[in-house]
Amino acid sequence: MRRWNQIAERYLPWILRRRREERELDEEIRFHLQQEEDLRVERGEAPTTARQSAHRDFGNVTRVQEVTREMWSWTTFESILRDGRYALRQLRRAPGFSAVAIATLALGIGANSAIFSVVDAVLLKPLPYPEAERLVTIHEALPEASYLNASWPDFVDWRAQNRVFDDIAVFQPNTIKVRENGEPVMAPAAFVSASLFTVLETKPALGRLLSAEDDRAGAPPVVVVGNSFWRKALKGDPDVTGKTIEIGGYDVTVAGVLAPEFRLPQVEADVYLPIGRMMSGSESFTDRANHPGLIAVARLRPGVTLDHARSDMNTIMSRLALAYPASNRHETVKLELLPDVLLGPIRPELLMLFGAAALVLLLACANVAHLAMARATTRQREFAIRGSLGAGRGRLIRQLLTESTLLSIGGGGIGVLLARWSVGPLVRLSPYQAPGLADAHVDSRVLLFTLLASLAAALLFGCAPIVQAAYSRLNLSVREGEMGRAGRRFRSALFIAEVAIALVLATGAGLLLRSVSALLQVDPGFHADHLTALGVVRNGGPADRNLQYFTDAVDRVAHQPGVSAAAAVMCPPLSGTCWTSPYWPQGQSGTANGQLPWTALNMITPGYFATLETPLIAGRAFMDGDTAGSRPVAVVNQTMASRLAPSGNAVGKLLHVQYSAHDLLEVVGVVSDIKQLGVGVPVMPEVYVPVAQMPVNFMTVVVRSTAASGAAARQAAVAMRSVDKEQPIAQVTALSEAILQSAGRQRFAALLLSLFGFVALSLAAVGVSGMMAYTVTRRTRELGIRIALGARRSEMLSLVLRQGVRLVLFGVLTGLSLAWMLTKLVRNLLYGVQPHDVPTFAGATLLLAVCALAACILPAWRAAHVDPIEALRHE
Amino acid sequence: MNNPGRIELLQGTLDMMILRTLQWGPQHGHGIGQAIRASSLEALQIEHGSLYPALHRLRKQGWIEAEWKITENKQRARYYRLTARGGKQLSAEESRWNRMVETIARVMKPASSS
Repeated sequence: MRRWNQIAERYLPWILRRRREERELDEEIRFHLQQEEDLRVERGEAPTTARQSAHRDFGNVTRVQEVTREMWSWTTFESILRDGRYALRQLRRAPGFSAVAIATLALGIGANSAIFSVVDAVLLKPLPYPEAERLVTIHEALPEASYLNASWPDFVDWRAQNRVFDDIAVFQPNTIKVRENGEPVMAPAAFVSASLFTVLETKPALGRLLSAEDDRAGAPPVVVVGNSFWRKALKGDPDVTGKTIEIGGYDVTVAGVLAPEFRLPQVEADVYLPIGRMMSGSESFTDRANHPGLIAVARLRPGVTLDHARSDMNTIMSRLALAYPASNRHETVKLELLPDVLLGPIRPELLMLFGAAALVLLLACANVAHLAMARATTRQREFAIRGSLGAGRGRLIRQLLTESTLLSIGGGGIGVLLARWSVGPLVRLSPYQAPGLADAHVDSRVLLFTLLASLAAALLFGCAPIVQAAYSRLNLSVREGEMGRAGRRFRSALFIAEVAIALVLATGAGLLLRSVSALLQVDPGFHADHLTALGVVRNGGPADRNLQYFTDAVDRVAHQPGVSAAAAVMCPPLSGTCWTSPYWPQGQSGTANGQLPWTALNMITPGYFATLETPLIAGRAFMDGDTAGSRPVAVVNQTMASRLAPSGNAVGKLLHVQYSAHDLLEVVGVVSDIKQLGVGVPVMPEVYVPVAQMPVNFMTVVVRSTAASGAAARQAAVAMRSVDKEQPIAQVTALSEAILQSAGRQRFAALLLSLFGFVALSLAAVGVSGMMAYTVTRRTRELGIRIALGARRSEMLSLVLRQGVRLVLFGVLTGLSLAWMLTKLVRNLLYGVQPHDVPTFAGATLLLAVCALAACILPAWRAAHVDPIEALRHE
Repeated sequence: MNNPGRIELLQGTLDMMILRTLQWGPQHGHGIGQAIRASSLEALQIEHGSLYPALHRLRKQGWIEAEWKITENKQRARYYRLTARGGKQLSAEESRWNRMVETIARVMKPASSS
């Protein structure tokens, strides 16, 4: 309220002065006219003619007033205010027009604002790391394996020998048992080198971060906790540093708490443990050929380019290759900028969706432009009158633009509400892993964007009636109903643009829908229905105790009511490949792994294939008899089998798998390929070994149950808890859900494009129908005359329809050629369908043509039923 | 008013003529118009309305001042008066005008001087 008072205080004297000036000018002119009239009467003119000639000599009073007012300095602001008031009055007088225009714009602007809030949060706002453009990720590569995580000894040598980085850090995503309210739960963890926090340049919210001393073998155990974990599990205790908490079954001292905005690149973590202290003695860390899931990040020294860093690092790698040929021959490193790694795959997809939203707005503008043009034509008389009263052409244009701006701002306001309401679902549905995504919301930047988009839209559609007016010379003709050829052409262009845009979006949506359906029809190699997976990580403990736990857990779960089968696997389907290893068939010599092909390596309990209902193609599955003491055996997938024995039977072959626990494995069976990486990703060779012969500490129990997935998971969890009540379950997945998720990017894009396509189609149909109806109305007189002269109704129908068909045809052709160029943008998202898929193009065209023609039918029917008498009386 | 070239020429000269008229004493808008017409021997037919934008422009420049007074016929009218700055402006414009007229005359009648 205070603000309004201030405004009133500031402008009230101004308004009062303004009023006085107006009054005085009026009086001055009145006086002048009176004087002139008197003068003329004195000279002997008749009073009536005297008055008329006084007026004639004076000229246009309104225009004089207007020009004089413009001499007064405050006129700009004042006239905007007046234009605004006048525009509001005009819009209120046409509530139907205003409501339709605002709703249309709200849809278009809302879609853009919603997508922009995501684009802004993910792509435009800086990553949560200072000088993120100096951060790079490092991974290794061999000729047969293009992506390997860092090996620990290599990392140690990089750190010691490089001259291009401030520092290098590694972290290993993990899961570890912690206590929350006394209950054991699994928390996402990261084993990190102490250098991680200096490389990412983060500061603690409380206490300190890890030091080099913490990161040595034998150092007292410490942990740094994430801010949300501190607030949730540690109740935000301000004196938490120095206290001990239980992690992985041990008491660990809390060194510090991270700032709320800190996030690891790509993974989530609640607790951060020093990797050197935990792991440096372990076998997987001393073996240079092992790549134990270490993600390496480094900070370039100021001024060092990526290319320079690449060459320095590969110099080191060739040194290491000479020193350790067994593990490092032919090994190279790949350096990528962290922002590219994090945003690279997301950027083109988000921008494509943003572009699609922009097309929707463009279409909305075209619709409103058409409405505004139709309205401007009916208002020609108003404009002509105002024009002859002396309103300048500039004034009328400003008036039209003011109305457009008001409409657009109204649409933008509602659009912001739509965006606010839809950003949440949008973020939840989006398949992306990007820092900042979760924070996407409608903030001041989004508001500013919306304002700019609204103004741009206002300019776009606001110009349409002006262009039209320019062609039909608005302020000269008081006659109604005539419009130039050029104006008609402009209207036709709008029509064609609408059809074309809708067709582009429909085609894009069609391609993605086909991709999704192709992805979901891919045979994943197992029956996903009723299959639930429960991940378990055993922290420490002897290998045989862990094996016993998994065996017992599977056994206990399998005996629950409704459960038809259960088994355990290290790496369940669609979760990636946990371990990979070089391999070679016995007899083929191979010494350096640089020349060896790689395979996925997976550990399972005997019932695994039966539980997944994966068909056994040859040989046998594992049995309880395959134990630690018995002959080492393996089952391979079909891809592997065809490599081992391209034309014959792989069963019986002997196989070396470098990182398996045994030197030589005998292939006893072949199974169908199971999709490990995702339904759309080709399967790599995979070797299964019995977990009894190669125990691991993390496995996933898969359960086939007739119960609903949630109930099945609860039931299995209870059964597993009865084996070890201290063992929490890390995560629960319904495998049918995992299949949907592995088509997540396509589903997200398909959903949004379908939504946009639907809106576009509806807008185009409404627009096309409106345009045709308008044309018919304009031609009512002509049609009436034709009918009166004996034209048949069917001829009228085809007359109007022919025009519609011609425009639809042009629109479709334009749209098809645009779509032909633009669908390349979604190439990376497509699966099982080409960017120029003919059935999709044909289908979209058909859909569009049918909709557009249907939209023409009603106006055409009306044209055919024009009553000639009515029509002629109309004028 | 449809010819922008004419407006421009008219504008400059009209301002000058108004200032000149006011040199003889305060006058209202109608009176100024009458005076210009009379002194031009009815040759200049200016549209009366165009006086008012000019008067307001000159007032904004500070060359003239306005005041409401009662006329001899007991009517309220706005009288305009030349200010000191307006007087200076008038002499500046007068000399500029004279120079221009001479120059144009020299161009238009070169034969008579030779």
